[in-house]
Amino acid sequence: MALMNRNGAFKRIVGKRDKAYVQMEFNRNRVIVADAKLDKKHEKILRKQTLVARKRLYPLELAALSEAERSAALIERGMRAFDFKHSLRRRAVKQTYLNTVGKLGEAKAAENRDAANALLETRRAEYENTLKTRFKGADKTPAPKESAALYEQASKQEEARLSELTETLSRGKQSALNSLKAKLDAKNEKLRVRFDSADKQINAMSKVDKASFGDESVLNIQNLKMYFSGIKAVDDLSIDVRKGEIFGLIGPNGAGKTTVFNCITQFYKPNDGKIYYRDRFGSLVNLVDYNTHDIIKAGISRTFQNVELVYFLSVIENLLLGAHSIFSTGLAGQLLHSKTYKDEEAVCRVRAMELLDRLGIAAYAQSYPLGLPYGVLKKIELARTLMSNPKVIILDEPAAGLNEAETQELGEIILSIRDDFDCTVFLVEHDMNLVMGICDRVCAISFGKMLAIGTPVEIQNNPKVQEAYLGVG
Amino acid sequence: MLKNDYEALAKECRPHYLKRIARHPFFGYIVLMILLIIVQLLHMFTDLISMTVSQAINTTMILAVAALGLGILLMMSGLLSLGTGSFIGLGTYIAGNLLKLLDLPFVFYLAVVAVAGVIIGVVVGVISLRAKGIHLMIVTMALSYIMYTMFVLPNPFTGGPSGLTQVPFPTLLFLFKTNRETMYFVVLAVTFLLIILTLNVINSTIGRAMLGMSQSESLAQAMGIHLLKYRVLAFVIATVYAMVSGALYIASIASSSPYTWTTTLAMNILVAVIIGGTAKPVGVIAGSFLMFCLDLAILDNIPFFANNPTAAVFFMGFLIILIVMKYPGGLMWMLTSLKQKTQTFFYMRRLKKYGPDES
Repeated sequence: MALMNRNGAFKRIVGKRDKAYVQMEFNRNRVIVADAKLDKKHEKILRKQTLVARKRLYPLELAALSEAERSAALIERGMRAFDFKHSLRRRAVKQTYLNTVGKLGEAKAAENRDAANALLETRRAEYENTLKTRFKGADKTPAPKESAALYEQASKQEEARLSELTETLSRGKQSALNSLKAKLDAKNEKLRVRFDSADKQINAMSKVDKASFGDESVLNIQNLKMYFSGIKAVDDLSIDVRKGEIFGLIGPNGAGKTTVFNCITQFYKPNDGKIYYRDRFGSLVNLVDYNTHDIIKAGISRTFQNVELVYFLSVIENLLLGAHSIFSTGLAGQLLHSKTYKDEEAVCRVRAMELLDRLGIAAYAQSYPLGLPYGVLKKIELARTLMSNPKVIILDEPAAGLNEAETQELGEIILSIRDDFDCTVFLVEHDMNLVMGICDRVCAISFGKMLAIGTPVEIQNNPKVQEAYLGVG
Repeated sequence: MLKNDYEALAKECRPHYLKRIARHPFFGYIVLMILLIIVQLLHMFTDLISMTVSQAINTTMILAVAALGLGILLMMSGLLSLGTGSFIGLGTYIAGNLLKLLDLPFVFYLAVVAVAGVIIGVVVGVISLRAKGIHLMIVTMALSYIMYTMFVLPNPFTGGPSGLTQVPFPTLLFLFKTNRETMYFVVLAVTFLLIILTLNVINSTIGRAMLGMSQSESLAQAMGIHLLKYRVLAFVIATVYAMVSGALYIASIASSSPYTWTTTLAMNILVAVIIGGTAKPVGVIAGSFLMFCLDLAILDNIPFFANNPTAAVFFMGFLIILIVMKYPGGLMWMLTSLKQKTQTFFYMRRLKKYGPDES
């Protein structure tokens, strides 16, 4: 009971700290979204005002021309409208020719087409004539200089008005953003106090043996044991994963690789052993104290052996599901779609689009996953793990079902993710080319026991590993 | 010559306001509400629409509210419940007793019933949601029988077998005393608000979490979704909707008989949701109209069905079988495929007449 209470208090404080962190991150991103929103709004206003200016200037512009020029301009404008109106008819004539050429024969169809075109031409000529009778100014004497000056003056005025408007808008935007920033900074300061107190408590509470945990380690598994009614799936396994490395776990089928992953992500509670983890704030925790759904908040996000996507949601919504842990709006805010919630979703959508763009699948953002190629589905899953700002990414057979070219591309993507998102990658893989190509260190296990750990070359040359894979020669 | 490119600008900036209005997510529902208001006005001021039709629409909208909640529970979270009928009944009894006791604005009763729904939903949900799928259905069915027995047992709260009768109509904002005809509009307003709330639930983190949870539990847990929390939330939403539906029922029909609140009603609502085929309000409302309104509002006006009441039952049965066989995804699927077919038809016609777009 005492243990339960300790865990309960621990989870509560961890939850508090995570919430403060998520809100702080959101507040930082909120300025970007506000900026984009204001930009869009101001662009609209400017476009509308440009239109107003053009409308005001047009009669003056006409007045500044000589009579002949004016009528020519008006006729041209009228004919343009006529052509736009009749473009569909011209297309219809063309298409009718194509449709009937088989039935009526080339000559007859061409005849029909020419007749229809001639009719259209006569109509056009008729309309041009009416316009010419309506606007029949032929006087070529230039307009009085006053009207030209008037036009000049008016256009200058409008330009000045527009530039002033642009300036006002940009100033307004700047001040709005500054005030928003100040407000959010004040909020963040308050959150920071809460965060720090929770962080201190967690550090005091954590009973991790710091001596066994190297400065470079992120994940330290010690004597992990997982038994399924007598079958020793994982037996006394100790692994140390260092920060910023790509760590591979290999082994023959049934060696217990996925079980190790499930123990780390708390899908299975290990029978014995410790899984120490340095979370994103630097405090050392034992993952066994966590619930399954709290693991992602600690910064560990995973993919699955078989692609697990929600087929009723579009690709981008699947990514938003991956960002579930970084939403901080309460129930009421979500039910009423409050402004904060909308902003939060906008931030996440922008991030999701960036990730999709990065992986080269932005074109699929609005489509549904059912029926997409397997390589794309794998990439969507990879993008989803990145939505929650992870520190450790756990990939369960990322190359399964991919062809050679796709596997190579995946290897490059994993490397670039490690470099750009500042995270550690821990993967299980059967594809030896991928493992040997990208991993910094590899651990080979067989029947739940560690065979060897080291660089890919060392593992390849290890006789024990060769024996486990190929049998005794 | 002239810098009159403002025409091009105007073309670009032209607000396609009709299109924009038509694409608004609430547009269809607003049109539906306006149509139903016109129907009721025709009933009130002319003889074109009969009392039966107005009553049928009223009852359908009330049951559609409960169906919306069940839609979230079944279609979003994948949980099967047969307790809807008895929760509606409980809502009627709570609201009915309050209406007899106090004369307050109607919003007050709705709020009380909703709070009661939250409490009952949490208690029942936390206990029963350890079971899943078909087992949850059995648990809720048992609960439904227990509640039915409690309604029928003679007691002052439910009025025993005769139920609550002669419940006064509520007032709106201390001012208007409603009657049977004006309550119709109140029902429509509440239904519209709940439709919007449902849309918000579907298009938010809650909705995505529920869908993820119903598809794969391990996926949901890996994404940080607390399974029990979201299950209970879905159950609470369903319960609150059912209880609010009960409050609307007692306020507009003024009586409540315990024999109505059986599992049969729950199953009818379940079928309405399944025939709708989605948690989206459009499907749920279409399904509810098919189940509860078609026979009373339309078939009874056709002389053949009016003379042969059993023929209407047969017709409804065959219609449901036909829909389920032809479109297993429900009416929503049917509507979507019809829409696609019409779009393709017009596109092909245009293509045949004018050829492909020039650009």
